[in-house]
Amino acid sequence: MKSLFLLFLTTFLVAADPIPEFSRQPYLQLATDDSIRIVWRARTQMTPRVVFGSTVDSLSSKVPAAQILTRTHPSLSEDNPIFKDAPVETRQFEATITALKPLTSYYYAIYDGDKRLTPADTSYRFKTNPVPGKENPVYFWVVGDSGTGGKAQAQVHTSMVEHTAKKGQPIDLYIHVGDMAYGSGTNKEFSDRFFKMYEPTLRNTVCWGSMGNHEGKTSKGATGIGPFYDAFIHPAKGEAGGLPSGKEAFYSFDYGKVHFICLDSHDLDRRPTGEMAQWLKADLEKTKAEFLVAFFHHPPYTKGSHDSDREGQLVEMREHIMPILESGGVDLVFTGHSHIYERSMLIDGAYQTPSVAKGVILDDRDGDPEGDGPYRKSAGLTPNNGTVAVTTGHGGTTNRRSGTHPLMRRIILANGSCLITIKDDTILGEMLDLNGEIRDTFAIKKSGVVTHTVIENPWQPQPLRPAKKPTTPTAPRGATALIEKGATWSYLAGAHPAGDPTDWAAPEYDCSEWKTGKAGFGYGDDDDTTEINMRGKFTTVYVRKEFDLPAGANLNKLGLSVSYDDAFIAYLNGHEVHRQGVDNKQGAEAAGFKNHDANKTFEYFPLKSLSKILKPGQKNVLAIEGHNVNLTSSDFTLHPRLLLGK
Amino acid sequence: MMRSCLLALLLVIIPASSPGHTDVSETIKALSSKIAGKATADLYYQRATEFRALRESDHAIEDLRAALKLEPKHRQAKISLIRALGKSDEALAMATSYLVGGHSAHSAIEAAYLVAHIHHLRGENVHALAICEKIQALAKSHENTIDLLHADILLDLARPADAAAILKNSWQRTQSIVVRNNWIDLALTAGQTTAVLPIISEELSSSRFRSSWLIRRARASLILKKPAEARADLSTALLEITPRIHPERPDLTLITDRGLVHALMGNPVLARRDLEELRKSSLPPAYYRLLSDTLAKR
Repeated sequence: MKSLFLLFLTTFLVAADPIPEFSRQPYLQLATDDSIRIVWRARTQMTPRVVFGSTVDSLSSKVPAAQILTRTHPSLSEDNPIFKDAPVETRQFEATITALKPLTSYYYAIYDGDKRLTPADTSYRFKTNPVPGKENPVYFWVVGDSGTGGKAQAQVHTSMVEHTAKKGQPIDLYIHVGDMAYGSGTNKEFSDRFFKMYEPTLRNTVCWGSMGNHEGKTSKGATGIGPFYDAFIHPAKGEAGGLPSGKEAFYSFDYGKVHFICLDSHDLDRRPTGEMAQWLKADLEKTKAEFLVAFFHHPPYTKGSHDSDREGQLVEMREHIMPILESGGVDLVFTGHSHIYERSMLIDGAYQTPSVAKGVILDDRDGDPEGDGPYRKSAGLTPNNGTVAVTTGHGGTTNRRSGTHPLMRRIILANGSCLITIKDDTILGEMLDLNGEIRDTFAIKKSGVVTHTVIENPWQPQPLRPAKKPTTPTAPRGATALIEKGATWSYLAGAHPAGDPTDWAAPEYDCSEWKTGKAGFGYGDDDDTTEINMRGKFTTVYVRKEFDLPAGANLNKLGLSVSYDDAFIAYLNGHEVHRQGVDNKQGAEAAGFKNHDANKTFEYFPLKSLSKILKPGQKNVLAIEGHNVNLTSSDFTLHPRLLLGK
Repeated sequence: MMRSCLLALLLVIIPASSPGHTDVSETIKALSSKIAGKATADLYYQRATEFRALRESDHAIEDLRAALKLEPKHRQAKISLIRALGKSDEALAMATSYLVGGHSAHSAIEAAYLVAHIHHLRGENVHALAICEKIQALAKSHENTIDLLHADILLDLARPADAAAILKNSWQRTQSIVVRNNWIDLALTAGQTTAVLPIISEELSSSRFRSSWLIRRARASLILKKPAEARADLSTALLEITPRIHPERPDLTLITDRGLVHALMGNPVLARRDLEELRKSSLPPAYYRLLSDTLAKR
């Protein structure tokens, strides 16, 4: 058993050194039951040759030269198909191997003329798909939002490799739900953050990709042009079992009894009128698969780093595309974009905005075979019989949770990926974190005829625990106001002050160009004297005011009394003396804001260590930068007072 | 030495920065800060994209204008602004000026498509048609989206047979199933059955859900004066569609199909009820045109 594990590990982790002749190491694309593509790039022209065979020592079959396509940069004016975004001298080679046997393992080697480039090891292999419709288990990996090139991405990959090796079961295919090459999906970012990262897996496993918004910065779904489409070869002509879409942005393929559907949620029309939805409807009508898995980038249900109740692409995928998928009998929907792992209960008809649990949950148990037991569905594809939606945008970047989505059974903030097995009548899903631990397990058993009744009062996930409100001291009784409520201040709105971040708070700063107005400043909530039209435009307002500090004032009794929404940083004579609800930095670079409602009340903040800052008996300056938590916030308030206790 | 070792150690310990984006509002805020520092056309364009994600089109348009003010030739900002301005005079003027400007063959087709699309939205179909015909003549390997628009325009001009011919060619060129199915629908609208019936039969024998194809065959039967066969197909289609329709939140594509079945079966009240449901949705009328046309005719 141990030797078997080592064999697999060796096979998987043969990353070795990259082969210098390749500028992009060999990877597999577009597998069917009788064909596959092997793709690689080189910095110079070569005489490409590919051989393959059923054992690693006997690569007796040769791919005809006519079946090896060379793509070159358009500026070379060569009579080749072109690709767009790579160094001019780069060539991309695509070897199409045909007439293969279904469900058969082959080994391959790539040559430049007579020079063998790939080593003679078992990791350069591929396995054809089973015949569409034929019973055969499938084990696949789903990853999203991984393309940072960082440590977490590498660990997520390694944990999958080690887990599958330990299990003695390599994955049959790999699905990426987008954002595989931050920040703009350029050729270089693809090479560094996707191909290099996953190279040992990509050389023997097909990755089926869907375009994320980051790839969408340089690649366009409507035209199929850009680095994403240079890298991936998708079955736009229905080569792999689905209906021809005519576009590589959305497509489908079969693996045995499983039909996979990839959609472009980023830059194509998502309405039922659009080409994508029309194709989806036709494709769902045609397929006779028994399991249906859809994947795309923008999640219809999430409260992670994105909110599916607010953002257009997410709302539209839920309102327009989910009804078509569910009336077609979809089982699983994988998405990314939101940097979190969220897995739903068994749901149907959850298309409202905002999402609600009432009337849409068919089974609110955990779906864990070792827990409450698997979800149940009818055998085959049955319309509106229940879907499990998984947001798997936790493949390598920083995770975040902004709330609690009411359809979710599991919400986990950890980097990881999903491993899915579909065997006999059951789908088994596992979330594997970057440390190799299974953090969630669910199953869907599809057998017989299952009729669900919508659960009236379903189980609900724990709300995100609000931060405990710190108790703040109250203003001292009988304090004198050095700056009164409703005082007139100089203020700057809609721009940041010139100079270093705190220059503007210093006594000598010239604010004669600033406007003046009476406190409080802001909008919304009807608690502001000086209305500032900042919603959707900017989030920061700067105010400053001179005040007389009596000689002999007890500086230990000085404090701010502020009505604020959401956050602020206060300075006395240019020195920061208090920050509230701002985690990092200041001014234009301030970050990490916390929501806070003014509620028409003032909170008191005693100020400390002022003896070296203030000048009793002289003019001093209080300056405050007020921050709104975001541009779309419904209100903003900044109304400061400065109090001196007895 | 010590310092460089420490730096090297830090580089190993600290993971590479995560360039993945966060919440849209935070991205907007970060872009706003950058714009406040030094505004560029790209920054405004990026912020417009984020505003669009939040469906705040006024802010998006404002930023796209700001981008073009700084960089009048910013291609993505220009195209996005043209699209955001819909069928307005300004959109048409911008698209037309973009069309006559110098650019690559691909951009020229994109610009021509935009101009044709805006003319079509404005009901100026003769202008729109002339542009589509020019694209057909000059760029043989264009996207099938252009053919679908071309066919829509011809249908508006009451030329369904010509529209069908455009899509038939397009299907043969692109193999897009959407184009093929639209061709079949238009051919039936034009009263043509010979070329499409074999495909309909093949689809009926190989599809899991057959209702779309039963409706098409029923339309062909009605053209061929076989009302009993049409009725039988429509009844079967209705039996298949009904259980697929979610009682509270239906798939509108199925409502369209059901409405069409009712209209073709001579049940105008039920057909109108479905049409009303479609009208209440945000979908453009072109989506349920076949249903409304069929109802009007019958």
